[in-house]
Amino acid sequence: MTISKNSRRDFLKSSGSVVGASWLGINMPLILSASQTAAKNKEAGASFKNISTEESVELSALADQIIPPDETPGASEIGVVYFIDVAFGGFMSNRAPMFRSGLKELQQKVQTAYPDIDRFSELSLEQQTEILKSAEDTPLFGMLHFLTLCGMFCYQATLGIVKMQAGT
Amino acid sequence: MSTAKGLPKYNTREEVDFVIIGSGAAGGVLAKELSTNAFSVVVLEQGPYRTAADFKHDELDVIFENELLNHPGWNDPQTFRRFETETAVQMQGDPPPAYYARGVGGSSVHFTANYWRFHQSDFKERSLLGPMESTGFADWPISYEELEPYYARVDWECGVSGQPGPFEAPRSRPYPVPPMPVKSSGVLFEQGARAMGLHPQPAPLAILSKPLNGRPACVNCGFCMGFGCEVNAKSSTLASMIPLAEATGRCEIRPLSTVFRIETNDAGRVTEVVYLDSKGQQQAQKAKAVIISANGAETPRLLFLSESSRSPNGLANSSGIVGKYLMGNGHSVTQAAFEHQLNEYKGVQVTRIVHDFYENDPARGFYGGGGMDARPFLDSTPILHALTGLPPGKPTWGPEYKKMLRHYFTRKMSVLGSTTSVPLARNNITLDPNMKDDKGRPAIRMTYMDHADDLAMANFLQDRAVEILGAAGATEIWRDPVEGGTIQAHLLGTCRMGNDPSTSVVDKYHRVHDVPNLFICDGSSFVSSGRGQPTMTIQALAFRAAEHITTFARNGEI
Repeated sequence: MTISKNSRRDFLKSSGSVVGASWLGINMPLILSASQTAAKNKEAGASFKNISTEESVELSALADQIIPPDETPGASEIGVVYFIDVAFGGFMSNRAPMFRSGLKELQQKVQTAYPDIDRFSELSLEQQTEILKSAEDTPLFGMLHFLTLCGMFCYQATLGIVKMQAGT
Repeated sequence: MSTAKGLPKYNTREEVDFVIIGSGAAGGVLAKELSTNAFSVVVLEQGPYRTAADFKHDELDVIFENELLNHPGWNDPQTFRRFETETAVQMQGDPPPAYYARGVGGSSVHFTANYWRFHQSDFKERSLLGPMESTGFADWPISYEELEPYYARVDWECGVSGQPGPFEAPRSRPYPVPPMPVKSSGVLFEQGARAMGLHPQPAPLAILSKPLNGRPACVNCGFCMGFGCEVNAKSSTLASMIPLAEATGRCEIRPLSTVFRIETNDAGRVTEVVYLDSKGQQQAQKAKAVIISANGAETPRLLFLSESSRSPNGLANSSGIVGKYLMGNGHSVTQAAFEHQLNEYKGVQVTRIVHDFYENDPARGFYGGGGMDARPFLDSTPILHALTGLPPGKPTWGPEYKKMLRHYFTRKMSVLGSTTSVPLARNNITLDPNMKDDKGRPAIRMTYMDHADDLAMANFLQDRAVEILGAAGATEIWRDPVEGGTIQAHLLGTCRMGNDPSTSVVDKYHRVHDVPNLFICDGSSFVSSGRGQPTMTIQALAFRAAEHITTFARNGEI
């Protein structure tokens, strides 16, 4: 059989073509390692190794926009930021510069729209949503969208959907 | 992970009876049969020797990182183009165009395990329907009746669960174990199909519903499609054939061994197989005869790489058709959501199929036929569901997105249509003139665009799927676009069998017309594509080939 092009296109659209290209060329054992390490770091309350505290705050806000908390945990509570931290130290290290430049552009967008506010995380949830709607097609959003879903639902956290299910 | 499982260890400088290149659906059967028949056998497998304990429920590694597909030692890219007038390119971010698993057991490890037999008509459609201009439409040199005893051996020795359906060709033995328990998708598909006047039936699967041959029954974990089975209930050759081959004491499985050339002597006979071992060192195994079972993409690649002054266009290629007539089976996907929970993430993928549209029907206005099945498809694992599972136009992030993931994950199913592929010379495997792997081997270049009739058949089946899902009470139905395939998991027809050496590569016993001690047995041997799900037929061909090759060897006819 052939593999669904439509699904693949959705995947690439969701993850951003830049991510789609790089994601398949990276060292796979490191991904498993990343999810395991991320889970341990989260449990231990470890500090981040590859992102700054400031960046982690922004990532938490961004990831929670993608999978927000409701009656079940959101992305940051699941530990997605720890997953992304480990990813930037390993299999996604070549994408860390893109993350930083993309984040800078996003913050500039925030400052332009809201001159009194410096950072995305300082916006109200509604303001964050509005800003992100205008950034949906950026490589930064594509990459973070994909990493958030991976961190949310991969192996170590693969029961994420089941946990959500249990909340219904 | 085992890297040196097989005994004995043959010296590469001593001539073994057979070298088999590839340990997948065909290679695993041939290894078991020939070693059981007292021949010395070395199996060269480019992938690692994983066992059930090495497989896992890790969607990232297996589905997104292609853990079972990637070459274990180095980067081995492939290129793709639709037509020969285009320049082929590596599809960045996509799985490889030729989609096959590397490892002991080959793609039988990661397949979904749909195990339809071909129908009688599949072997003689050219005679039944007449010619198709500008195509390779042809009869097989063998009939269903000749192959039937070997289908039965696949059922019983590899392990197929099922129950005969209304359209199935005659069988000599019943299935060894009953069908897998029906899933929600199967129940709904059956209800919808019966409402349409169709004849749904339990799906034959190479997954055990009951213990058989010392192997356990499926535990319904839900990680079948694309994954290796963690309990050996999936009837891969890794689980079913390789252990029996090794138990003979005459078969050495040599993993992490990438073949890049077959040497021939002045008499035109193959003498040894040259490969890179697990340390990247060049080795050459001498053999009295060689069997290539490397799949429909790697087999022609190897033949091209084995060109010589005697065979300037590639070994076994005096006909000029090695690599041509690639067939992949077209398909359509129709997704649906229901009011109530289906919980499709558990269990095997497919439990019900419809074969009412299997045969060609001139009233449709185009050639072809197909089968349909119900399955969770990409909604069986959470990341794929999150990326691809929601209906068109729904949010892709935010509170509503999260609610919809929760809602749809348990309420989705899909109907797949699998179709014929018209054999076309323009669809082929060749060596890429520009792209090479890390070891300097030219990359596989796939050229492929489905015939208009194949796409018409896929659309026809999608129309039927919409009707069935509607009759089953789906609340939402949406179609994936039917387009030419760019990734093929069924790699068929590239070294087709036939009686005429000018129009085929191997004879009806899988012996290469040009080389008396070289055999090819895998999907490349196919003359027509069937209607999808080719592995059952690949394995039946392998059992049959092994029997004839054994006779030839014992009679000194190789």
